[in-house]
Parts: sequence; C-alpha cells; structure tokens
Amino acid sequence: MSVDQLRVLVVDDEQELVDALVERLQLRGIEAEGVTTGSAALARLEAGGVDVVLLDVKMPAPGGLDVLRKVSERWPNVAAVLVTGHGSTQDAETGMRLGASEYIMKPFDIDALVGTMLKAADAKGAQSRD
Amino acid sequence: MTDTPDTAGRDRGCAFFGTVTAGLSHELNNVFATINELSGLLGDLAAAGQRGRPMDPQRLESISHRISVQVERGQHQTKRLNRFAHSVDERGGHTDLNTVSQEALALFERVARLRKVELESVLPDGPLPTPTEPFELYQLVWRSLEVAVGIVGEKSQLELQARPTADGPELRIASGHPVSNAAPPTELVSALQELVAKLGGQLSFGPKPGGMFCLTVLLPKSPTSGMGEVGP
Repeated sequence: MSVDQLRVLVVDDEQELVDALVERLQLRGIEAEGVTTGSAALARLEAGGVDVVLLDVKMPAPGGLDVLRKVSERWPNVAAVLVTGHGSTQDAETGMRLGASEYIMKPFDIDALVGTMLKAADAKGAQSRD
Repeated sequence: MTDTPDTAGRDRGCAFFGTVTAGLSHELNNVFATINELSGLLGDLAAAGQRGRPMDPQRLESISHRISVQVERGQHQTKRLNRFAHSVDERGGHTDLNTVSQEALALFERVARLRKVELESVLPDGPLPTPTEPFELYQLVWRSLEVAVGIVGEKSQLELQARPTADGPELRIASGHPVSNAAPPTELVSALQELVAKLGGQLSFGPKPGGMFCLTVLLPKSPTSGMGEVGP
C-alpha cells in the first residue's frame, strides 16, 4: 500500500493534538480524520473505509483498549496502532495481546508514525489475502 | 514481617505521591506531544511554502497562538507539580485547606475526566487554617474524592466544599443527584479512614435523604483537639 492509499482514523481525547496530526497526515497525502472519544471512533469505524486506527490508550470509557477489543472482534481487517504516554508500556503490552499491530509512544516522529501505520496496514492486507 | 500503622501509612503516602506525579507527568507528556504536532505542522507548512504552496500568514499566526496556549497549559501543570512536590518537605504550623482543596481538585481533574465525573467547588474567600501537614491534607482531599467518585460512579457530578465550622474546618463532598446502589470501595475507604483517624478528624459518609451522597471530614481545630472518630 502506498501513502496516498492509506485511510487513517486518529482517536485521542486531546482535541488540539488530533487536529494538528490529522492535518499533518493529510499534507502527506493520507486520507485522515480524527475523533476525540471512543464512542465516536466506534461509530466512524461502523461506517467503514478505515485501514488504520491510531488509538490513544488513556481515554474516558470506552478507552483505547475497549475500542481495540471491538476492532479485533468486528473489524479484523482494520489495523490498530496504540498510542501511549511514557511509562504506560503495560497497557501497550495488553493491547498487543488484544490484537494491536504496534504501539508507539507520545510524542512521536511523524515519518516513523507513517511508516508504522503503512507496515501495519500492509500486514493486515496480507493477512486478509491469506 | 507485619506492617506497623506507621509503615503502612508511609507506604500509602509513597503510593499516593507516585499516583499524583505519574498522572501529572502523563498530562505534561500530552502537552509536549501536542506542541510537537503543532510545531511540526508549522514546519510542514513552511516546507510546502518552499515548494510553491501559498502561505497564509493568519493561519501561521493561529498555529503559533495554539502553541502558546499549550506552553501556558504546561507551565500551569509544572507549577502545580512543583507545589505538590514541596508539600512533602513543608512541615509544622497550619495548612490552608482552601488552597490545598483547589490544588488537589486540579490534580484530581484527570482522574475525574477519565471517570466522566464533573467536579465543582464551593470554597471560602479567605484561608482556612488547618493543623495538618500539607502533604497529608493533599492526601485527605484526594482520598476523599477517590471514595466519593468510587461511590457515585461514572457520569456524575460532585461538589467539594471546604468551610469553617464551630468544631473545626470541614471538608464536604456531595453528589448533585441521587445515587443508587452506592457500594463504598472498601480499600479506598479504609485508606481514608486510617488517614482521618491519624489526623484526629471525624469521617462520615453515606446516603442522605433523597438518595444524595455526602462525605464529610471534620478536622480538629488544633493538633491536640483530635476526635479520631471514623464511621459511615
């Protein structure tokens, strides 16, 4: 998959971070949109057309891990990349067991993030073709 | 080896300090992450400008302002962290329950947000001197809020009040709506009970007429006038 084919949903309760990150991804040709609650993320995923969901772990319920569980159950072809703060590796490891493709720590390098999301989307694509 | 009450109290104090500082560092990390994206966005727009894309000065100014807002947010959090850290080494005399209530409420904001609990406060205009060490008073307000949130559950409103009474300074946390099936979180309650007893205060909590929840801590007027009574 190329960058301009990637469709990303950013989920974080930090509105400013979501807005800035979505715009940066769009400037790179990625179809990106953002929401600030787990409920809004589930509603958006229901509508389809998402390859990668970038999920903050620490949010009011439904939190990142709750959303991840739903993604694994209902949308197995959507890759989930978890975002954690420093020192939250326990949540990240739980997330990996629940089916997350990868986890990254805030603050992140945008190019590394895009690379991680592409890799995660490609891996999901390969799985769905298997 | 069995823990003495002193050891258990110290361990709880350390755990409390860890919880608060970990929460604040998480909040600060969010500020840094947001600044990182906003400054990155400025860089992206500058790079796009060099490639010939028209630059909108108002847009750049707006992003710069958004960065300033985040810096200010980070400064507030750093000051709060600093005041909290110094509460450990400030000893003796009286502590202002009014100030500590405001600070502890702000520190508790993240926990409340994650539990979808709205916090309000009714605090006196002036200081409310309390014969308690600052760190213990922070713990008292925090642990009272923890118990209250544990009882009222998600999507609730709580009002914290600190006021002088004839018997001593009083901290009161009440729900703004009737609470059903309010099962007190046992571990949190016992930690609060131990702390209140240590401070010579009096704790009461439970449903009030109309199903409203209310938790009250009455602190002694002076260190020697402790009541040491605890009960729901």
